[in-house]
This record gives sequence, structure tokens and C-alpha cells, in this order.
Amino acid sequence: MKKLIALIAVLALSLTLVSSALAETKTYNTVDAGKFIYATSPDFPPFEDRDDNDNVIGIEPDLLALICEKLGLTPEAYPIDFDSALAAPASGKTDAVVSGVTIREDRKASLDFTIPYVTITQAIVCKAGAGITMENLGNYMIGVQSGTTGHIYAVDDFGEDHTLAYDKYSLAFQALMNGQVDCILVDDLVGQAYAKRLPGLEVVPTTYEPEEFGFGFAKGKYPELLADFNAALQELIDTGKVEEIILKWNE
Amino acid sequence: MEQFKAWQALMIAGEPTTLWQQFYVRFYQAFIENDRWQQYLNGVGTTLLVTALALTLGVVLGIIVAVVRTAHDQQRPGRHNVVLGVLNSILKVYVTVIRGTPMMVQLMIMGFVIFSSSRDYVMVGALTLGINSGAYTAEIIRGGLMSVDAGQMEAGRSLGLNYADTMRFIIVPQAIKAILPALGNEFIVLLKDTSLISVIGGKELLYAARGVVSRTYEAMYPYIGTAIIYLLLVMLFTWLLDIFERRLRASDRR
Repeated sequence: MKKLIALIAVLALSLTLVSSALAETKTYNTVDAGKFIYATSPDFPPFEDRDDNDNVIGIEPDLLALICEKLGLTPEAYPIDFDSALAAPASGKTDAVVSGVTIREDRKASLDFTIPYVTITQAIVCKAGAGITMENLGNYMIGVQSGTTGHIYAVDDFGEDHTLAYDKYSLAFQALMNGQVDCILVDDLVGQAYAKRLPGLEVVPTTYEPEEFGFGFAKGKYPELLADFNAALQELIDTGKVEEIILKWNE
Repeated sequence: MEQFKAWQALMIAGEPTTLWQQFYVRFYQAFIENDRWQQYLNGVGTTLLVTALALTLGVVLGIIVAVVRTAHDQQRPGRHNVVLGVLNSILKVYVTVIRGTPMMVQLMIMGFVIFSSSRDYVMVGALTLGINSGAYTAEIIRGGLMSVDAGQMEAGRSLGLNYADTMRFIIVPQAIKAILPALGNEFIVLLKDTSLISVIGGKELLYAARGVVSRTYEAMYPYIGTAIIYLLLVMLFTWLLDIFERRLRASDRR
């Protein structure tokens, strides 16, 4: 009799456990449960920037806030230099990298990308009237941020002797204002954002292929989260919310 | 090469791979693919160049500061040389400011404020490190000179040697044994501090490693490799310093 009661008790307990698990909203097995920790290099306006209270602000934090709200996660920024940010998900430090990351084949070896949400191209930023164009770029010293597509293109096309990689784009632009580099190779929207803040700069278009930005998740770790994330992002794209946010930050 | 490509394709596709295959691919892409080892080699060259320049500058500055400050501090009671007094105060400010501010801040100020139009990024780095090292070296040398008993100077002078000769034949040979271990320590710190100049665009070893990380999206092998290279360099120099110290000790009866 005792055994029977015990058995019933165990059954009842397991049933309540199962039902409560079913009733709960979906939980994702992120690095820190309930949170979505993303590595970012917040010197990349309008995509990421830092306000005076050390909050990460910009297009991507806004998008993340909307998406994470739907998924029941709290986004949390982990500010770090861009090249380290790219490696952060693979090391298990963060769930993803959200830092204006171009979707590239070679990056897919360590990251699972979401669908793209914006297209940009590289641009040259130089002092107004410097006369630097795509044709004569190889004669100048090009400043970039370490690990960006601008860094990769500059080294591949013009060599290490004409490239100088800084930890942050903010430092690279400081060097441009000082005259320590002749120009900066950077994503066009970011170049325009800096040109608005710093006096006497002009943005020159390049002939590089357009690039698509996405969010990079730790490889193979979150298939479910990635699928839901993509669905939410697609919805934001379809409803025009993404465009609205991009326009808002480009004002 | 073909094996690397084949195994790399396996890893990108997410196929199961053995530990050996993973090690091979990651090691290959970190050091061998596209002759990346040359980047590290160039980096080591810059690191050694910056260390040598900064060390030379540091030791020269250190000796000047230490000699002036020791001469000032060891004046006979009641005597006060005005020139020495002024020089001493200036040098004290130098030592205080340099020792009182972080290396990184000094690099940022030198790179982006004082030499804001210079494109010789490595030389600016070497200059900053040299000036920084000079302050520490000065205190090490001063300590060494002060550690020699005052009686030694008095004995030398009473035997008819002038100040310079007493220093050269009596004080310095004794002081140098006290100075060397600490100076070797400072040298090792300097060698490792060169990794900081990558923030102002100095293309040393860490800059090369970060370049590779940003290409391969794999941090472990380039950074561990960099650490091993630094470790080997430091071990090499420690060994050389040990030999030098032993030579100096040859005449010791202890």
C-alpha cells in the first residue's frame, strides 16, 4: 500500500513538472539564462555608439531590444574591440556578436549568421579636397579598425605598408584629423556619421562590392534561437520597422 | 596544403573531426597559410628594435638622472650647489610624472597629442617607452650608487682621486653588481611593454597576431603563439643576463 502511494505521488509530481514545463514560455539555453549577451564595439555610429552614461545605443541595440522583447530575453552589451568581438561567441563569452558585422563566407566557419537586414558599401573618408579616390588610394596611408572588412580590403589590395589598423574607428578618425593617416576605409553609413561629427571631412564612394550586415551567433550552439530570431527580424523588415530605425539614426 | 584545405572544408561544414585535425587546421591557418609566420617574424623584429632603442634611451636617461640626483643628495652637510639643486628638482618632476602615470596613457598622449602629426609610429612608441623606462632605471641606478658606503667615496678622495675617477674606479664597479638584477628586471618589463605600442599603430608582434586573429576568427593559436614567442625571448635574455652577472661575480669571495 505504501509503495502504491509513493508511486502515485511520484507520478503526480512528475506530471506537474511536465505540465509546468509546457506552460512556461520558451527558454533559450543562452550563456546567462534569460539574457542575450552580445559582443559589440560601440564606436561604430550609427550602428553602435556609446552615450554619456555608457549605454550602448544605435540601430542595432534598438533592433535587438525589439527582437529580444518578443523572445523574452534581456539584451546585454559586452563592449570590446571589434576583432575581439568577432571571436567572443566562439570562445563562449557571449551568445552573439552584434557590431555591424558583414556576412562573409570565411566568417561562417566560426559564426552562424542571421538573415541580412541592411546593405552597405565601403567608402573612403578623407580631408575635404584631398583628392583621394579609388584609383589613387594605393599611394596613401589608409587607416582602418582592426578586423573589419575595410582592414581586409586595404591589406589585400594595398598591402601592409599602406594600412594602419587601430583598435577602434574612433582612434582611426582621431589619427585622420591629426594627419597621421591620409584616409579611412570604412562602411559608408559609418563614414557619413563620423563626417557629420568631425569638421572638414568628405566621403568618397568606392567600387567595392556591397556588403550585408547580420548578427553572428556562436556556431552551432543556438539553432532554435537563431530560427526564432530570424523570424522576428524578418517581421521587423517586412513591417518597415528596420528601415524606420535606420532612418532615425541617420538623421 | 591540400590536406589543410580538405580538413578546413570539413570543419566549416560542421563534419566531425578529430582533435588532431582541428589542431592541424588551426595551427596551419594561424602560422603557415599565406606565409603568416613572416608577419610574426616582422613583428618580433619591430619588438626587438623598439626594445633596443628604448633600453638605450632609458639607460642613458637613467644614468644622467641618477648621477645628478646622487651628486645632489650626497653633498657634504652645509654645502649646497645651486645648479645641482635646480637640476635635481627638474629631474624629480620627470621621475614623479612618468612613474605616476600609466604607460598606456603616456602612449596615447605621445601618439595622439604631442606627436600628433608624426607617421613614424614605431619611433614614437620607442621614444615613449624609453622615456618611461628612464624614470625607473634612474631610481634603480640611484639605489645602486647610494648603496655603496659613503666611506668608499671618502677613501677614494683622500687617496687623491678626483670625483670622476673615484666614481669610475671605486663606486661604479661596486654599484653595478647591485644594479644589474633590478636592471635586468626592468629590461624584461620593457620588452613586454612593447606590446602596448600596437594601440598607436606600432606594428609589433601583438599587432601581427591580432591581424591574423581578425583573418581567421580564431584567437587561441595566434595569442598562445605570441605568448610563447615573448616567453622564449625573455628566457633568452634572462639567460644572457645570468651569464653576464656570473662574470661580474667571478672576483667575489663569498
